[in-house]
Amino acid sequence: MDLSVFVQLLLPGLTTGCVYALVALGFVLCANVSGVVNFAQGEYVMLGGVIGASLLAQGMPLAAAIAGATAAGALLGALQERLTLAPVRAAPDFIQITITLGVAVVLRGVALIAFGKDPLSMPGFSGDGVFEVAGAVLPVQSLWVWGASAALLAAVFLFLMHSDAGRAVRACAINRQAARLMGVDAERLTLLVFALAGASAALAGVVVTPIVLANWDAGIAYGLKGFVGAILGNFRSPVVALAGGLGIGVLESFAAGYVSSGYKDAIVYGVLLAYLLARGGVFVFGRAALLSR
Amino acid sequence: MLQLERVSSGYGRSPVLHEVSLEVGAGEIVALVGANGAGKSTLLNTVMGLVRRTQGSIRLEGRDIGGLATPAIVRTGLAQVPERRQLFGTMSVEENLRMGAYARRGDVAGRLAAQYALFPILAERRRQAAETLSGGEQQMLAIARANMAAPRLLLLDEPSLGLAPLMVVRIMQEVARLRAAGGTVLVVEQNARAVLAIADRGYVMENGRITHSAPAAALLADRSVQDAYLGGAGASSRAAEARIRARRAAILAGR
Amino acid sequence: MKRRVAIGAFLVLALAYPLVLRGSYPLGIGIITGALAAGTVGFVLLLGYAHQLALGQAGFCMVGGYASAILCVQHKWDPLLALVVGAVAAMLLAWAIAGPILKLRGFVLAMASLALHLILVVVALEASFTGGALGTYGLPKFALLGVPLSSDLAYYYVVWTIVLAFVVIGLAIDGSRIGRALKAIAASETAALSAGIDIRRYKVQMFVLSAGMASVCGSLAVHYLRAMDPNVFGFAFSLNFITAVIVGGLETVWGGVVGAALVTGLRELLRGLSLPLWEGVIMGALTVLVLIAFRRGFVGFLAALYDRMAGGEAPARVLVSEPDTAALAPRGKPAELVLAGVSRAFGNLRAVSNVGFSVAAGSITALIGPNGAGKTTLFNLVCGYEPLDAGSVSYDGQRIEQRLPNQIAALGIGRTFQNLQLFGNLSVLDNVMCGRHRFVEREAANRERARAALAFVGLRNAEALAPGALAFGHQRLVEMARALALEPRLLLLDEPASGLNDAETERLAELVLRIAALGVTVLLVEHDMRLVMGLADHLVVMHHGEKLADGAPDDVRREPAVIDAYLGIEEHAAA
Repeated sequence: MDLSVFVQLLLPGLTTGCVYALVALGFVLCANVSGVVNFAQGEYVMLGGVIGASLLAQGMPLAAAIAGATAAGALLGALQERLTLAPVRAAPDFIQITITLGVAVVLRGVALIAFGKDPLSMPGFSGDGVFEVAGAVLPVQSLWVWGASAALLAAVFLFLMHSDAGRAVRACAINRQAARLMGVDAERLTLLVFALAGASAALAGVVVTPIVLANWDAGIAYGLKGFVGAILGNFRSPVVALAGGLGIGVLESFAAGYVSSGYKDAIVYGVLLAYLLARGGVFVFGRAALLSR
Repeated sequence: MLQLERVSSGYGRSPVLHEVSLEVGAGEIVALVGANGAGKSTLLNTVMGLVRRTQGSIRLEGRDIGGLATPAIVRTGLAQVPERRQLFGTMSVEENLRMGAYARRGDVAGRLAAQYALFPILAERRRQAAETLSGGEQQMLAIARANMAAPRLLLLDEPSLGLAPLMVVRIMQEVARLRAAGGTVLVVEQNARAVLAIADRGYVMENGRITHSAPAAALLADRSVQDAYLGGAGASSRAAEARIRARRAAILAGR
Repeated sequence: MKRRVAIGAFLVLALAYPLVLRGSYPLGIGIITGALAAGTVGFVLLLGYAHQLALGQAGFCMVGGYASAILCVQHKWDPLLALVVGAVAAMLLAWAIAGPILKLRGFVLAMASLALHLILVVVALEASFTGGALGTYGLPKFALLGVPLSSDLAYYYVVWTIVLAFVVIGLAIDGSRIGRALKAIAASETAALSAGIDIRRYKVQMFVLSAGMASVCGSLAVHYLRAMDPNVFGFAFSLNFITAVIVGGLETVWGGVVGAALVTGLRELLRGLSLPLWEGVIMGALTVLVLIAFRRGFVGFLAALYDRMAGGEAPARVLVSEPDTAALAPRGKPAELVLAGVSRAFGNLRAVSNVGFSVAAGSITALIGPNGAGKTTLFNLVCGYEPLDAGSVSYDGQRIEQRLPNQIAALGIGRTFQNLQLFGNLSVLDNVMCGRHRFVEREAANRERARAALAFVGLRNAEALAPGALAFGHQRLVEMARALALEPRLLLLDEPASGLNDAETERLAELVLRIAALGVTVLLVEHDMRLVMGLADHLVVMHHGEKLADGAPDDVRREPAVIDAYLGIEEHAAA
């Protein structure tokens, strides 16, 4: 195996993997604090990209465009929670999940109307240059994606581990009733987490746009691939979710490079499907699966 | 300090408490004993705003807190040690303690130091996940966590549950020490003998009603407390049991 | 009556539409609506009845679409045959993935079916047999038994005949024990299991059926379009399915038909207004809005309107009837239950350890013990809701500890729940009829038996009401009637008196005695000592997960160990 080809596939895989990882983290946070799997998670990546690119195109400075896109993600995430999920907190799961799907459709539709069918592009944050690692040539923007993702992850983990609010988020996920007894207002935390998930997805969407373009219908793919990461961690472990997201990015890149670029999505989704079938199949003869709900 | 007057409450359409009146004075340990299912935990949860009060008044130092949401109630100075401890299992001991101070911040470091002084074993295990502690240590952590809110009144729900007899004694001694340090405690307990040994006064609860109240020492000697657990306390209860037995004889004889 | 009105309206509208609105454009809309309706009728069964969200329903449309396109164009097959083959293939595919996946949590199916769909899209794009991105062109017109349908009008009627057939299938399921079982599953899986309903089996059945109907939808659509390519049934088409059934209404198959018409009509309207880009926003917003504000959908709205116009009868004032003790006759022999060495731990906590006792046939046995003694866990172990770590449970000599809860129920072990588990979406009578699930009899016979069970507990007048309309104590009786409808030989009651007042508690005692007199062994967990000491022949006391004592009530209540377990050991005694 040619090392430079390997690296040429691995590193871009890690770049998109960063985005999937952030989506997976958003899935896990939202699911733990609200009990809902938010199917609109991937749409915030798409929105971050299209909003950032069009703000920049309208002459805003780069930093303002990035900040604007991130803020929009936070605001939309909070709005989604308040307007569509808070009113139906007691409804059956499938109703709440279907609502998040409806929201995803609305967000896609809004992007289509507001930003059009054509993919939007953005120049690299520090030019469109390239750099070389072990014989592989990568856009300089990759460094921005890695850096921003690492910073974002560090910030999220610092928040969760070392702030009162972050600790309360974890406490809520472990035992909501006990958290209430500590005086935690779960409603406010839920809002906070949706805003946080929206913002981090949107930021990921902006930084990755110079490499992959921003397209109104890209949200499903981000969502589904991020979902793979989240489900590997059983919607419990943020760390496994992150690793899963990165892994999916790399798998996708290898599938495109070594197998066929046309079939890369089929391979990634095939792995997801196979994993789900196997996980279901493990319990075929026991009753654990039936009871583990 | 805490006064309940004719409080009724329940879950949905199912009433559990029927016009319960109860009082806790400053500096007292008051025990609420009775069999499980009697409604003791529901009473605490009603005070904390986790179960909806349907009638009656709940006052903390004169102020009606019956309509407040749980976070607001915690901020008025009530803290509950819930049944089965309900620790945040994967979080560390210290993080659990910090969560206790969530609603009433302030001198968190000072309170942490005070709890570590009170429960040195917790200081030793401060970095360990709560779920790795033994049952007795977990109960101490649960009490310390509630203390972190610097409560005026501590509500303890079944502190002896799942503990070995010796550990039950330890925990009761800790509760007595809390009072000695100036605290006020309302403790709900099935283990009547252990709790009445440290309490000042006691109430006996049966089927959602308070059936007796007396100084703890008097209750300890009262045979009717035993009956509250195993049946036959009160004339109406005995009569009901006798009627059911009579019907049983009549119906099952005929089959 | 309501059903006849609905079928009548359906026939008139479907027949008259092309005759009133003439021209190829309205006819085309009618055909596309019909094709979509064929799929959405099945989707109502999946989403509305089984509460399973599948995001990739268009994937099965692709199977049908490509089966028709490839078989008819390249292999010159008969279109009807190709349609059937496509549907069978879609159903096989659905069956292969549903079996394992439906064991996992609800949202997993949504993602798995979406992944399957997207894989199919990629395959369709990349493979040569599908015609790749360009697709397959030149499908023949649809043909019936070799006779091509020369006019679109004829095709319109064929499509809607198929829709009618699917509606009839859906209505038949709705009116059968399967439809009732599905609604029960949607309301409470735990309680459905206790009624002997095999949850997974029905979910898989509905997934497979809806996949077949989606495939037919695909075939019908491509015979009108005369072409098939990977974009015809994209993600947006799956969303159409979801929007259609939610806006149309999830409660009956009519919701699928009406929803298909609404979605198609809305899309054409937006095109007419030159606002095609708005389709997604409006469809998504409608979905969200209906789910938040009016969950019954358009057909639910019509049904409510109809009920009001028909002047729905006021509910009967007097709900409680005198219990009719003759309504149920003694039958069968009571069963014996024997536990030996039963253990179950959760992590470090030994919830139940090495517990053994027997419940004599025909006895009333009470299981008591202080809080946290492990009584409810033991109940769940006996009923199969928890797996045993060790030990055995025998029911009339038959080992049952490896069986699933619904299998255990089907053996004749009824149970009630400490926290009421009624099916809020079914009438009181239907709740009880769910208990009849294991008896595959005529509906009328089952209904009579269910009525008898209701009369027995004294709820003869409450049949038509929703359980939520009853007082709490009466809801408990509905649960008892449901367990009795199972014709149990062993009945497990989990804290039946909790939440009851004194008078209700004594009535409950009488009822338990009447049940025992029918030849049913009763095991109850209860805290109310009036009930326990008054009713039981035999007491079993648990403490710290172990059996502490058992014997006659008056002996047990005097046993020092039992008193200590309840009251605790005094400080000085232990220290």
